[in-house]
Amino acid sequence: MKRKTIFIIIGIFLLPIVLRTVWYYRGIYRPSKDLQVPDFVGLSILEPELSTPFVSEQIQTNGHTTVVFDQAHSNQYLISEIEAMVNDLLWQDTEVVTLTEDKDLSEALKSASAFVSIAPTKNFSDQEVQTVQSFVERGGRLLVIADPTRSTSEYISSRAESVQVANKLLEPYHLAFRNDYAYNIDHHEGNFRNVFLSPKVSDDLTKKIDEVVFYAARTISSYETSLIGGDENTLSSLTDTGGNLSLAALAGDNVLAIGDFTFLTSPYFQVADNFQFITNINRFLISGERQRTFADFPYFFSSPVGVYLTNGISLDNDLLQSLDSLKAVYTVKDLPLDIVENDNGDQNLIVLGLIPPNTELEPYLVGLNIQFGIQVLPTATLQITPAPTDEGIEEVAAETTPTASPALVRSNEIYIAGLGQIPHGEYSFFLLKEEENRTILIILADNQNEVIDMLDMLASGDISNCYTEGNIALCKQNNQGWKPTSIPVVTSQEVDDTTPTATSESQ
Amino acid sequence: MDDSNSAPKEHKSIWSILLVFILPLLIGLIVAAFIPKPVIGIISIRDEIDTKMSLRVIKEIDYARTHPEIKAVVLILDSPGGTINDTESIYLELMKLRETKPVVTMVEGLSASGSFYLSMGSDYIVSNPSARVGNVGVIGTLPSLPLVLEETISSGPYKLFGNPREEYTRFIELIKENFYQVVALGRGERLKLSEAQVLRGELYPASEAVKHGLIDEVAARSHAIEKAAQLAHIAHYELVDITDALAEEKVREASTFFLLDENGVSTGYPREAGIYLLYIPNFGSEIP
Repeated sequence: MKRKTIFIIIGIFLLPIVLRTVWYYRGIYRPSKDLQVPDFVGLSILEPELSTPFVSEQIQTNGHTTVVFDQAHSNQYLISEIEAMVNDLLWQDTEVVTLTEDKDLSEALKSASAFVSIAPTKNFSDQEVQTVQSFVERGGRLLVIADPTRSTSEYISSRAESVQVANKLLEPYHLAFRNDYAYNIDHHEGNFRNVFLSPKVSDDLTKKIDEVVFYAARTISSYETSLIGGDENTLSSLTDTGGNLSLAALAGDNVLAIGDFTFLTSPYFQVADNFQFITNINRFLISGERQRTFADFPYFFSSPVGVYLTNGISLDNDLLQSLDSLKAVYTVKDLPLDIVENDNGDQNLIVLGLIPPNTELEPYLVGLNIQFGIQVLPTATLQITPAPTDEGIEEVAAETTPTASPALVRSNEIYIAGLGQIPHGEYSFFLLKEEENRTILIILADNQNEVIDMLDMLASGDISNCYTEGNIALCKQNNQGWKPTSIPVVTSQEVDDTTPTATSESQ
Repeated sequence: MDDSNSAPKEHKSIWSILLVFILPLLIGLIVAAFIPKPVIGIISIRDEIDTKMSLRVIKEIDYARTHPEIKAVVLILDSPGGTINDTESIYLELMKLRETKPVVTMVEGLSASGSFYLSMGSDYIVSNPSARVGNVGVIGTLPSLPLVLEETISSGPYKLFGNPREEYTRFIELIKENFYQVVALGRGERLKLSEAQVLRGELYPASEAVKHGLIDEVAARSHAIEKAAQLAHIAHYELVDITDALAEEKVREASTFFLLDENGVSTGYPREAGIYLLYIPNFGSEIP
């Protein structure tokens, strides 16, 4: 009985406790078995593989080389940032020149092997684009680098503008930077925007390269050769799609576009094969086959020049003074200029001679399409359509109708293929001739004083008073300037078998 | 005599009833009164996460942990994130709290970057339909290039700046990896996105986030509270706003976390250079 009472007491005591407990609590909280924090200590990020520093091989070039770095278009970089590239160029005995706003682009490119424009943000004029295009057509090398982190400001509009500026320069070569950046979430170098890239073609520019790293780089739209690109996980920020994106592309042999600047800078040039790529780029810049034309006036040479005086030219004081001025001009470009007694066949030459050319000059005139005195010519070669010149001559045209009869050049006239007949005694000539291993500039005038005038013109670097056609420049004597309206041309009506005449069509 | 005998018997039975029924019941009721009514604590983070915020929240978490009547915590989030150190500090405290009490996150507006990091320290995540979550990742500014100063003598090349610039990039990458680990552990098998997808740093609307397994449910706050009660196995609970309970300052001082423009308007960028788990809402538009 007592025991029963005790149970009752306990039961009644526990009843409110149990009821309250059950009222509020329906179970016991058990923390999740997966309750764990990350292994903060165990995580690490690998350092990038650094390339072993090396001294690049010296490149055999055709004499003096100059690379012009654009600083005239609000370019968003400093030369000091690319010292790895510049130092290697200097090691290659290459002159590094910066084009500042006060300098003329066409002047700077005359003696240049390559033009490098990095992150330009100020528009190129149409004339500048044309100048660069002409430079490229003459064998000059063009490197354009754009970088999404290099614009005048962080504004989106500024970034788009920087792409447009670079693309205007690249437009003639069917290359264009996209207004994007490449990224790779899966496999990258320290950050998703630092992408590993590999060569897409075997080329001198990709020689000895397994992998390079670009640090926030623009992709390139190109119908031309993609040199360096990403894998299928390398995507464009523009579309979040990718696969075979090109980040360095080559157009023809002479134009290279690269979507990153950072890989040229320290310490990033040491990562992977970046430095090897830089040396390959430098090799590209200085190994072009430059064809010299009058657009390069007066820098037709890249190695020492000899001055050869043919019969009739005497080495008087005036001539020596002119040569001295010219020597000073070429010395600036590290080009020795000396008078030579004989032509050894290997050396660049400036040949001085008189009109009509004597037998000593004849070998130099072979292949230049200029003839002196009466000679029989097929009239079919007299179709003339001079191209526009830098002076803005828009239209100087005359056409001849091919006939069966030959045209003749009168003894007091000079015939230039593609231009026609011009009278003696009014013009002096620069004739430019490229041989296999040298360049020859022939200066022809009616007398020694005119030859000296021509040398002075050469030293001045200003050929604007002359009319240029291919490898021939006609300069009005007494430096009167070339008047387009005075171009004498031959018309078929005026050419007969015995007395061919020259008329000026535009008069 | 009989009457005199029956009276003590009646007294005896009354005492017996008192002793056997009433007294134990009274004592039982008194003891039962000591069984606390369960409480669900509410902690709110409605601003950027900085040192001041983290000190406050850690204090509130500690309050919840040390008060036995608090059986679960609902973490209300509406924040773009903030500094790494402060975010991690809060996260680790939440993980410690979860050893004894469930934590449910309620997203009201935005849970980006560091705020999303914190939500990974909870058992269950509920969100308003129009809220946005995610933005996994880190932002940082590289330190200055190494330099020497004429008037300042330091004992080593990185004494002034702490790290080579490159190492800083790797540090940011390391924190990003940590962040991903936090997400992977926090969501476990519920996470439907790949690592690469998570690390894109996207901000998802709640409905998408549910599909991707970044959060559990789109519902109202009351549902989050019910879920907390369910996880804690409690009923008839009481709600206590711990933030309000511990509020020492009713009016929060004007934030000095973000850089202010010349008009005193927040630019959305931190005032001080550093590494942040932070979502910058105006990123992508013109940056002042």
